[in-house]
Amino acid sequence: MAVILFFGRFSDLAQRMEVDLPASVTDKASLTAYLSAEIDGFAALAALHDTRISVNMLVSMAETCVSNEDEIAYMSALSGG
Amino acid sequence: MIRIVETAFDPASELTGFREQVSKSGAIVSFTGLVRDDDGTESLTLSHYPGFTEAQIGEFVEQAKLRWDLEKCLIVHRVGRMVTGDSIVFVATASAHRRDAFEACDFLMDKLKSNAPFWKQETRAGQTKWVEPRAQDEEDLKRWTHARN
Repeated sequence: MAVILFFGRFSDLAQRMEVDLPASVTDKASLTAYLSAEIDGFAALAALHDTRISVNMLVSMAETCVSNEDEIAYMSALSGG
Repeated sequence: MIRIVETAFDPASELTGFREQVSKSGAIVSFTGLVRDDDGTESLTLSHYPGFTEAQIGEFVEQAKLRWDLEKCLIVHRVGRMVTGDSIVFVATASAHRRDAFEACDFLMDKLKSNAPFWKQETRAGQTKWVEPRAQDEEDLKRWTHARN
């Protein structure tokens, strides 16, 4: 099961999910498409330029692979400390 | 050292403890950030991504150590709900000379204000809203993109 975490404005939509990823989800881009279909309001937040997505605590390209072993986090714009 | 704390901390005690761990520096600079009394702000609630936030801040400290001659750094950052006057952040730097300690402390605060993975919500008149990044913080960060003199 993949663990998906939501921070900032994303946490208004969901806090934490543990999901068995469907076969169509292979990378961050397809995971974002999947979650956009599952969660109302997700697509608009995910499309913002300052959204960050990490896989196992590393922020990387949209093509980065994801699997059921991963922890993926969606982060809205940082407010800073 | 980096600590994310969920309860109030005492900046004076942090400074005393930091000084006791410094053995060869000639300068210590510290900064304490407080929750401002800002037009009726009732509370501020900070959230973070445990593990990730500490790692990101750790990278800022490594950048500071590459740039300035530092013996030691300490960052204490509060998360959770805070009210006016509470300490949010404490940064201390120790170096052989004051300039390095001042600049490193300033740099670390700018990085924390713009690049640290924290999310803030403020409550005013019973209404809670997310705090957006400030343009001024981004401007402050640009000061460090230029080569050091």
